[in-house]
Amino acid sequence: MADLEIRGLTKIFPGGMRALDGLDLQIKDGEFFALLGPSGCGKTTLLRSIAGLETPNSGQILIGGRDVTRLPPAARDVAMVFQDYALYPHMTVADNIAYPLKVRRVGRKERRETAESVGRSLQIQGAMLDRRPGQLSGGQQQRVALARAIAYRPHVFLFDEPLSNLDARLRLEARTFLKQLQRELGVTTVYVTHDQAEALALADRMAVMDQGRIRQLDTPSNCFLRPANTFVAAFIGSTPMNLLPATVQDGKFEVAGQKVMIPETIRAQVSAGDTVILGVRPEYVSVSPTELPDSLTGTVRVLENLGVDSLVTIVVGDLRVQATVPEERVPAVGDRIWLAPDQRRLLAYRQDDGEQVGAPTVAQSDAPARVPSAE
Amino acid sequence: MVRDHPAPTPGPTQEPSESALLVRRFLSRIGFYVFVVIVSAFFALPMLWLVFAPFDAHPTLAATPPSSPTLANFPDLLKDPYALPSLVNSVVLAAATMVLVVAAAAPAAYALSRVRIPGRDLLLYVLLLFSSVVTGTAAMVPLFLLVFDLGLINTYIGVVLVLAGGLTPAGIFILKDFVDSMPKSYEESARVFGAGSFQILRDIVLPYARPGLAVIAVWVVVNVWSNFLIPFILLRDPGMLPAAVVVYNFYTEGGQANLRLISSFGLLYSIPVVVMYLFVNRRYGFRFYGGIKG
Repeated sequence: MADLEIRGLTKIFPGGMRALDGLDLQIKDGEFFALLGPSGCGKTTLLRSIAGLETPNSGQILIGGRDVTRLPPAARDVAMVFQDYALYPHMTVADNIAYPLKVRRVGRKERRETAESVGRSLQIQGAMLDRRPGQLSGGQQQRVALARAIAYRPHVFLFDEPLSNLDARLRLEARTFLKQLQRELGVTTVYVTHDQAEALALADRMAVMDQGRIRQLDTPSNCFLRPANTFVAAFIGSTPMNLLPATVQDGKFEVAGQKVMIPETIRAQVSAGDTVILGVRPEYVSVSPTELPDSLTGTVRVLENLGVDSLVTIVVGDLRVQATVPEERVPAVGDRIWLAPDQRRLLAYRQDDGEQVGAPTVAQSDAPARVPSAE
Repeated sequence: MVRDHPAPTPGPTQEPSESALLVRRFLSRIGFYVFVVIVSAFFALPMLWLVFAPFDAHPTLAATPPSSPTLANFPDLLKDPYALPSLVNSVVLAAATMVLVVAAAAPAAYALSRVRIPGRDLLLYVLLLFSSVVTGTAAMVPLFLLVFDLGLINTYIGVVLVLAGGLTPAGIFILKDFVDSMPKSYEESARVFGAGSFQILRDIVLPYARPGLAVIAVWVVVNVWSNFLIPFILLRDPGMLPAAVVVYNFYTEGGQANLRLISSFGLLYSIPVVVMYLFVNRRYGFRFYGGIKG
C-alpha cells in the first residue's frame, strides 16, 4: 500500500510528440484513480511511466514517498494488467498466476498454493487452473490477469483499459466486480480508460487528460456536474453537453436571439457585452409544450430513444439544443416546444480559452473545478 | 447490361448444351487427374526404388519389386569400414551444427526483433543474401583458406563453424518472424513482475517461438545431412567423413555404381531424417508463419 506522487512529469517521444507536459498529480493511498481522455492524450504514457516501461524526460515519480523515477520496473512494486491481458499462451492458468512468484524464485509447491488461493477468490478453480489461457473465455482471461497482478502483492495496481476487450454486458459485470475487489484489497489503483462511463462508475477521483495535460482533476460527480472547461464538458456524459454561444445583455444571456436568466452565482462574474459559452446537460433542460418564463423556444428535429428517456434535438434559431425527456412527455417531430435550463446546473465558459467563467485566466492544468454553484 | 444491338444468332458454339458442358467438365477433370498422376509418379518413383532396390540381389535402375528378394545387401554394406561410422559422423555434425545455429539464432532474432537500430533490415537481408546465395561453390576457395589459416582443417569444429555460419542468417530470419509476432505486452508484463532479459527469453520468448525453433532445427539438420561439399573439402581422414560423402565409396574405380550397396546405404541414410521429421512434427508441430496461430 502506498500513495503515488507525480511531479512535473514530461515525456517527449522521438519525433517531438509531447505525450506528457509537466504533469503534477497526487494519488492517495488506497484510492481508485481513473485517467480518462481521448486516444493520444497521454494517459497510457503516464501509466507506462509509472510502471517503468517508459522513461520520462524530466520530472519525478514517487511511490510511497520513494523516488522510483530511475528505477527499473522490477524495483517499483507495481503490477500492471494489460489491455490484451498478456497471459502467456504456453503456460497453464496456474503457472500464469504464479509467474511473478517464479521470477522471485519461490518454490513450486508454494506457487501452486498461491495460485489456488488467489484463484479461488476470483472464481478460478478446479480444472480451470490447468487449462491454457487460449481455452478460456474473455471474462475468465481477464480474471486470470487480475489474479496474476494480485499474486504479485504490489503497492500499486496499474490497469490499462482492462475491460475494453469484453463485450458490453460482461463489461458491466466485470466493472462491478473490479470495484468491489479494489475495495476489499485496498490497494492504490490507477486505471486508464477512454470510456467516460467506466471512469465515472469506478473512480474515487479522476483526471481528465488532453494533449499531455490534466484538464480537470476531481471526483467523478464534480467532473460530471461541474466540468472545469468545455473540453471536459464535451468529453464526459453519455449524451454530450449543450454548449451554446451567448452574449450578456440587459442582465440576461442572449442565446440565438432569445433570453435566458443569468444564474445568481454567475451574475457577478460577467458584465454586459461579454460573450460566453453556456453549458447545460440535456438531463438538466426541462421541456414544455406551453410557454415557460425565461426559456428558449424551437422546433423538434430529431427523436432518439434512450430506453427510459428520449433524447430530443431542438432547433433554436441557428443552434441545436438537446434535452432528455421522460417517455410520457416525448413531443413529436416538428412540434414547437419551450426549453428551460436548470438554473443550478447552468454553467458559463469563457469564449477564448474554454475555462469556466470566474476561473483564473492562466489555466492551471491540475486545478480542481472552480465551483460556481452555491451548494 | 444494356443490349443495344440485336441478340446474337443462336448456334452450337454460343450456347453449348448442358450435356456438352458436362462432357467438357468430365474431360477437364480427367486431364487434371492424369497430370497429377504423372507429377506424383515423377516424385514417387525414386522413393519406390529406395524401398525395393535394397532388398534385390541384382538391382537395376528400374523401380520394380525385387525379382530375387534378399537381405544380404546389408551385411555386405557393413563390411565397408566407413559405412556405418559415416552415419554416426553425420549425426554428430548435424547435431552440433543444429545446436550452434539455434543457440546463436534465438538471441540474435530476439535482439533484432526488439532493438531498433538503423539499417537493421538491410543488415539482415545482406546477411541472408550472402549466406544462402553466395555460399558453397563460389566461396569454396576463401572458406578453405580461412579454415586452413585457423588450423581447423580435418576437424569437426571447422566443418561445424562453416556450416553454422552459412545457415545462421536464414535461421535468424525465420525466427525473427516468430518473435515479431509476439505481443510486446508479454515481455512488458514479465518486466513489471521483475524478470530480466534472459529470464524473459527463457520463460516467454523461447517457449512462444518453439514451433519456429523446431522449424529451424529440422531445417539445419536436413541441410547438414545432405551437405557434400563442405565436409568433402575440409575433412581429410576417411574415418571422419559423413554419409553424404561416403556414399561415393560405392563406385568402382571405373566409375561404375554398385547399386546393391548404394541402394541399401541410401535407405539407411534416409531413415534418420524421416524419423526425426516425424518425431519433431509430433512433439512440436510445424508452424511456418509466426503470425498465424495454430
